[in-house]
Amino acid sequence: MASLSNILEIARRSLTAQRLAINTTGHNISNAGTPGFSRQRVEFAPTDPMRTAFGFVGTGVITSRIGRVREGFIDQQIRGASDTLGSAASQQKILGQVEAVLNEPADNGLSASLNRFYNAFNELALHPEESAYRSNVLQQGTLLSQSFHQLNKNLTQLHGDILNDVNAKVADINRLTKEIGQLDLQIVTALSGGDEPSDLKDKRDMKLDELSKIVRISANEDTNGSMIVSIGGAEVASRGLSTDVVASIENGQVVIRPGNSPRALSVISGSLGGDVEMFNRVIPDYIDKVHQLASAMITTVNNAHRAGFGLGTPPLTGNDFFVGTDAATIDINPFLLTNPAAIATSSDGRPGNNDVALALAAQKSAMVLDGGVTTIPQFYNNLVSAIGSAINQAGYQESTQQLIVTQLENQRNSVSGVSIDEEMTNLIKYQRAFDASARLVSTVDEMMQTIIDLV
Amino acid sequence: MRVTENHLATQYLNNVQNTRQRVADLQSKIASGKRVLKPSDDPRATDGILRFQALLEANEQYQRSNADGQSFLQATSETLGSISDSLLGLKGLLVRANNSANIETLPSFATSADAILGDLVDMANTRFNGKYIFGGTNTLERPFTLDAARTAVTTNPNGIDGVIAYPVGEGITQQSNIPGDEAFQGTTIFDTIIRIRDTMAAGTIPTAADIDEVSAQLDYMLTKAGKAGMFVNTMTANEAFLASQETQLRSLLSIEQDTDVAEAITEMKRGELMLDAALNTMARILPKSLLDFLR
Repeated sequence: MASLSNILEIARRSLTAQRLAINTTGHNISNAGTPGFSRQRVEFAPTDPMRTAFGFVGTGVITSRIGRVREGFIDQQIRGASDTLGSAASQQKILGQVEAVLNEPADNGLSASLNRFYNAFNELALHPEESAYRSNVLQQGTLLSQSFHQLNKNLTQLHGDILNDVNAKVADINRLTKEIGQLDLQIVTALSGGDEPSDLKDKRDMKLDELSKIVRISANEDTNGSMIVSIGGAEVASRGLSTDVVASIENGQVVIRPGNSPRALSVISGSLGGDVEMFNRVIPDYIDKVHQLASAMITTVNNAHRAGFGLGTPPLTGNDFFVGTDAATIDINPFLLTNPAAIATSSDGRPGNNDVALALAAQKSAMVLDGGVTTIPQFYNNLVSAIGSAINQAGYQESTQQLIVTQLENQRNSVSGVSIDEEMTNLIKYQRAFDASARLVSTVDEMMQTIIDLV
Repeated sequence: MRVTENHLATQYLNNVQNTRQRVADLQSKIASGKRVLKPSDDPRATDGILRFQALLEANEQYQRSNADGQSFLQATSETLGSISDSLLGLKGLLVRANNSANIETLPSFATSADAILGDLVDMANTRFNGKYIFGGTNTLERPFTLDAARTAVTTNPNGIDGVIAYPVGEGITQQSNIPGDEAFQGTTIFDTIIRIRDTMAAGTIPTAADIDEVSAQLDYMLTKAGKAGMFVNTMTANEAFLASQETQLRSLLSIEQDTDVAEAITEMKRGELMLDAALNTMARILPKSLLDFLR
């Protein structure tokens, strides 16, 4: 029987349901700008009907669930694209610093130092007898050595700084896995109690997004709603547990290991992967090239110089121009600095002979690098443009990947984002329903009054 | 597709950010006048810029070498010219002496010849910029010495030979001196004069053969002065070539390095226009919502 008290009960259920819906609408509106938030929906369902002599009679509404609107597949895709983006971005950042260190094309880069050094010998060839031109050669040689030292020092410093970045990122990973593990435990507990922990899930997803920018992860939800997060096949977080990732240096190379796994990560990706690639391979390669350059410089100049004669009686000979073996140690032979007359210009000991000065200046065209096909200045130019190309490549990869991530984020936003228009429409809908339910209460009240008045 | 306010705002911000980035890039290119400020702006052009800069710097150096070489050779040529003048004077002297009527004055002819000898030795020891121009590669040692008795000229025992080559182009050198042994055929010129002077001092009239010998020396000296002059001309031509090469290199460098200002400004105008359009449309759309129309 549809008694008046039954109708009152229906009105009560409706009022509760609409209030809950308006509450959720308010929650959505207030979180419209919150990063990582997914809009929530109240799902209404009719309560079980009563079977009466007249058939089934409705008993009102019940809120079956308050859930978030989210598509796990898009999340997976975003995480997959984020690690590549992170890697390209961190490589581009570091290469940009290398570019700044090079300081080319400029009037005071290594390229200009090289030009001035070789030209100083051509100038000396005009006046091998005069000490002013000898001093000029020494000055340009000193500047060149300093350019090498500076470049080597800055690149080495940059190389070392990457390590700080690696350690900071490993600390970030470990913090995030710990937080994800704890959130996961709360989520699993809530789910087992039959509740839908939407906001906690949002939080966990956001942490996973953050983590996937640093390192390539795989994250899969099991049947209990627990997220199993692993890096390189090793589980690092789930259900309150987390395992630290460890970075160590072995044979000068950064090695990343998840937990106590004896196996080092082969594919790291993410911004950490970008850092490791730079530290292990790219920057050492650049530093090595600078050393090769300095070493070729020392060898070619010394070979030509040693055979020549300077001034004096008897003419000074058999001296090296440079001492040292690489970019860190290259310097002008200190003996020459105090005895400019020992700078070799002559092939036979006569002061006017400039054969050796000419030969020294001609070393700029000697093919001595890359197995005898590249000159010293060209080798450096090649290095500079290779770095420029590497930046462009990383930049291109970054912008393409950024485009993909932005597209995917738009998709996610399209599904999960809060629309104020929509929420306002819902608000009106729920408010009207609430108004109507309240009217139902007063109508039933009037009906009851009518009956009471009959008595 | 469901479009939310957040989506609109993000997309708008991204677009505006990209446009602003482009405008800022163009602005720095216009302000600096350079298209390539760092290698990543254009790696290929950077290689060109570095190479052209090196070539330009070397070009300037070669131009200096040419100028230096020219002045040194000019001095050589002028000195050889003066020596020729003195030899011409000596020849005239001998022609006059070659006359039996002048037999009384032969000693004075001998004195004049001796003076010319002194002049020649002095000229052979000419220095330019602190270098003996006829010293060969022994530029710091006096090449010719007339002994106190004025009976013999000796050369620097360390040698007066040796060609000096100046770097005047990429891999090109140019001889920039006439070595003393070449200019004076060792000491032949001085020996000839000493012999004729002594003959005259002894009261013997110089013969036609003596005059011919001096004539031959004069001709020889003129060809050497001509040779120095020819080297000067080579270097002058070379300098002109280097100057035109410099112009070419500068324009090549400019093509690689400099901003095409007209193009950049047009691009920037377009960027500004896009920025205006984006800001304008978003200013209209972004603040609109259902709320505006509820009561």
